Amino acid sequence: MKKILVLNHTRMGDLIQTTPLLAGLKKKYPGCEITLLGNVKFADVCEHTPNIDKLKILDVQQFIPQDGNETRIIDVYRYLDTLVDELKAPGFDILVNLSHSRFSAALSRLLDIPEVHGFYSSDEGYRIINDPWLVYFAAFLAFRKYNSFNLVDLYQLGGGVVPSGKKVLLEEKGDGKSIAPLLEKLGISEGDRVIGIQAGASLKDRRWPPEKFAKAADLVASERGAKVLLFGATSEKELGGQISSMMKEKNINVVGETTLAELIGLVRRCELLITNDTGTMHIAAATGTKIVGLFLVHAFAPETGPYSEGNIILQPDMECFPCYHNTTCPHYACLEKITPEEVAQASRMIEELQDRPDLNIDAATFPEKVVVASHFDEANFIWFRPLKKCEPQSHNILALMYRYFFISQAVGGLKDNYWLEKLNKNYLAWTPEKAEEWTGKVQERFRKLANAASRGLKLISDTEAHLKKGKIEKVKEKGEEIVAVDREIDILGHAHAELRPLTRLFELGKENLVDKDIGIMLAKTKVLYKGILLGTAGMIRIIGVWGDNSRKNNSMETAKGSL
Amino acid sequence: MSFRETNEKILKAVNAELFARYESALGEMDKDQGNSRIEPFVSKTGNPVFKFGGVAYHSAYKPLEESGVILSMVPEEAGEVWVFGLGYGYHLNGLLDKGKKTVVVEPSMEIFASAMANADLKHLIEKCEIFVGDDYVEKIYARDLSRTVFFPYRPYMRHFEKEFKKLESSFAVRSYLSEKRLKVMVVSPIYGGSEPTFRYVCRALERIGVEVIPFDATFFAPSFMKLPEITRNEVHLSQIRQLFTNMLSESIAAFTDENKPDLVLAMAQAPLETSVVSRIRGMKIPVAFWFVEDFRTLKYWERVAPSYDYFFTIQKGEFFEKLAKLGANNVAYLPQAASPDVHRPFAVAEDEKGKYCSDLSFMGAGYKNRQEFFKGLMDYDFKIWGTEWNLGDSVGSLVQNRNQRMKPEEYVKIFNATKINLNLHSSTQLFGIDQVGDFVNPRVFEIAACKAFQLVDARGELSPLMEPGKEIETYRSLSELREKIDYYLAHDAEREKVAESGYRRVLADHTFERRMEEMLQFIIAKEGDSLGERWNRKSDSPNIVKNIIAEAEGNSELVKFLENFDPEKPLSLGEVMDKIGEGEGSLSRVESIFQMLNQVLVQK
Repeated sequence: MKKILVLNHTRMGDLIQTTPLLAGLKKKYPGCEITLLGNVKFADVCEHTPNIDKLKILDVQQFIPQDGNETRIIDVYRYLDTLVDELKAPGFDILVNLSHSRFSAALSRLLDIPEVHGFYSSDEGYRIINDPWLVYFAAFLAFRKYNSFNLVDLYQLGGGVVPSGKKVLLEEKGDGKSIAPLLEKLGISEGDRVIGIQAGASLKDRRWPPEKFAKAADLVASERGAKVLLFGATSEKELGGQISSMMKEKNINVVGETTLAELIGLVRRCELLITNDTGTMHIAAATGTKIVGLFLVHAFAPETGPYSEGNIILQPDMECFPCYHNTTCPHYACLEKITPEEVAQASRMIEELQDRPDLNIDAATFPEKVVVASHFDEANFIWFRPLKKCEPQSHNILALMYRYFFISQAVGGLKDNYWLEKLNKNYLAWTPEKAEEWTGKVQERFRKLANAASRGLKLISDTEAHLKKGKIEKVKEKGEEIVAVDREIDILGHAHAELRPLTRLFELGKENLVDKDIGIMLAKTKVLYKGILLGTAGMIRIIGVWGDNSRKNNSMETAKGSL
Repeated sequence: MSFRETNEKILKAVNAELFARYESALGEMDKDQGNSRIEPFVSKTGNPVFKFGGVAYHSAYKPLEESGVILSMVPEEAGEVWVFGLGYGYHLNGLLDKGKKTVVVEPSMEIFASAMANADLKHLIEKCEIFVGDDYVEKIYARDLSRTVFFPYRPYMRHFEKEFKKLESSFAVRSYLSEKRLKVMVVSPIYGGSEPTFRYVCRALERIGVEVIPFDATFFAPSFMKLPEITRNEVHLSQIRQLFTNMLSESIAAFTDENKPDLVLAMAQAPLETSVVSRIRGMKIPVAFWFVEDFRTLKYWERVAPSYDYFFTIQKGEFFEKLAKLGANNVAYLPQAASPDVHRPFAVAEDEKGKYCSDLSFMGAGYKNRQEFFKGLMDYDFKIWGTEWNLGDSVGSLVQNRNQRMKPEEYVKIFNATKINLNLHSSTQLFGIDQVGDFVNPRVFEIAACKAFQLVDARGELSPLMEPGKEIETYRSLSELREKIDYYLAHDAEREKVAESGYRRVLADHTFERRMEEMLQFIIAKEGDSLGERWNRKSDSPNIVKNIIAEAEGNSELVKFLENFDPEKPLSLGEVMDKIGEGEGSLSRVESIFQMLNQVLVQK
């Protein structure tokens, strides 16, 4: 029996997003025993997470005095010391560490588990990532617009599991009827239509304004003849009160009033949830409740959008969107972009989407907004398909190309036109002239990168030769040249955003090189240069296909424009 | 041999410094015998005793029975015992017999001299540490007073209550600091007058046993000075300066959160917005402000004073009334001071005498009143030093340093090399002397601390601080000044006597250490036990390294790691991470666990 330890102790949403991985592990290793190390703040979520055989809770909070007095360091030390021993005792075979914190990296090292997927710490304390997909996970924030992989898929791949196209999961304890008394208490009868509103968010900056939520809730509730449930955490009670008082339609304010089990039950009872990017959204994805999501500021649907079929996400179409994490915007203009009427319109489209999964809408609708729908594609990865059929931007095209390239490398089995079909079905074609110009320009940039990587590879070979002959001075010389080439690669990635995925992965790959043996370091660096060459070759080829296709398809719907 | 001879022989051997002072004082007392308040006499049992100011300081019957008076008050576990009042020593014998380490502070050189002449002090001088007057002040800073007890000898309360209270307050603060390990963050201005005061304050706080975390905003002064090069539009410039100050203010907030002090002390013109003061107070950290400016000239106190928990001023009276009307909290008078490690007497090097020596000198900025007033002194050997002087006019021709800034380490040479140091308080409105000027500038104390003679314009708040005619000389007009210059140039000994008295007074009462004690005493009295409790840095705090080691007994690897850190201080996770970063080779289990611990406690 394989014993597997999974570390994911950050937020509630992250835990729910781990559920397909856990299901995948159970399938891959029949009869395995899975232990999850979770955070005490989300212990109740862990209780509802299926496929966990054992649960270990990390509770450092107990040592933090509520009266503001200082935490006793010795107590925390002893707790962690004991935790390490308790986690070593079972003799785990596999560790999947999805937390990229230094804490989990240090813990991973101490546990000394034979097979590690994810973050761990080297003997000298450097953080290393031991899986190419988790390297990707650590990298993608540097090229967000070129990434179309959802966190849930990355977690699965990082854990060594191929995505199965199934939604996130939550278990409801008991016979499912436990919510009945609460519904009665809240005045919700069996035939009532109910919608849910989640107006709060763990990051205050990401909230759509409360007055807009109130108006949108009124519009949707009125259209559907539905009751409205207001959800949220205890800290959001004031917000809930605000929205409740602003609404004209009758609403049931349960903000801060529900246990997790009750929340799951109530969300399941809703036919629709209108929400920011929140943990409640992931609960809705797990319960099968349809979602209209508002992704603003830092939140970006491809990355953390709801992992279930048929949801609609609205995002602002702005050059500065999405924001970098950990930045403070001076204006937050994106919060004002989406109107309550548009949310109501998206809510109507949800039902349409269920009947017509390939729904497209006119480009003129939802002006200055990006509207996407969640969909499991033929590779069983979730994709946030654009609903507005309009001209693709450069990054839209390349994101699909990269998606195809990376999935092919990791999983294989994709049709050659996997990406092209998506482009053709969901975007207007460019004119052949525009496509040709773009193709030539972008391919040239990839060639430049390939050229740099080739030189890097040659330098590595030369260095290996010098090392074999013991010519240390030459080795140092070549080392300096290699540094110069690496800098050139980095600059190319910053100068041309389309190259950034490859250069950032290269950069992170180098950070993972902590070997003391120069020979091993050189061999591993060679692999990284080859990675760039593989990537550039692949992308040049795919881009060429796009160019050819565009020339052939000049009879299709086209849009005019320039790069 | 007489008592005097025996006592003097022993004192000279044991405490040469005190002996020299005593000898010097004897000479003065001999000249002034008619004014002595001491009346030695013999008790019924034949022991020498005395009256002072008509009050008997020992029993007129059986003074030997006083030996247990102090001892009876001393707890068994006490370490050192400090006693205020030597008298003829009878009350101290019990302590010496019991072997208690005893320190005696005798406030009066007159009584000490009388005791030296009339009492058997042999054992006392050999076994006790004796301070006479204020010379205990410097010694008290280096002491750990956590196990020290302190008593007055009651008869002294009649005539020396003021001196006793001074010692008591120093003692209280020092004991408090021995126990509490206070951490004070001090914020400087970006530039300007209170910048030297900031440095003196930091040094003084450290000397009295406080852990000081300075926020030195002067680091940003070069950038701030460059801002006018960006635009000549005053509105824009003002906006940019405000944004710059806001940035510094936010930095101070972040710095406070990072360092978690027990108290924040902002110096005048510190770049601290009132909104940030509120936020720091919201962290339950008291914030104090030392306004070392003239409230009539710089008015920003109106905007900022009510924001602070404590507001210290160098002026009283009218200023206090105005502050009360504004609703300012906990206002207290705290005049400027001198820093004895900078402002000190020394012999100027031979090769520098030509540069710095003169009969008369002035060190300071060329304010309008000074530029005018000094025209009346140009017939003297007069050197001027400082900045912002009009070098083109007649007074300007006396400026030695061409308006270049001078550091304190240099200008103390001027004070030491000059026969008469002139001090004239600045004014932008008046010519000459402000006849109703109140506050006292730092120069008063700095010059005196160099044991240098000074003539200063009369100020309303001078006399409680320095006694005119004895410790300092004053003038109200040019003619009075010229008279006194002529007199003191002709009378070296008198000049030196005044300088010596002023010097002793400053060391006793007007050092920055003394000011910081006064400030802390005021704050401690208001905050009570909560000061220093915010982050629980008491010596019994569980996070003091030695306490962690004690609890970690049994985990030898952890104990060994902790031995890398100061056992008396709280364990700083920042220092732990630095230590781990400096290491080589594989991380140990202890180091890895500390990495995890640092993460979880930082994220909380």
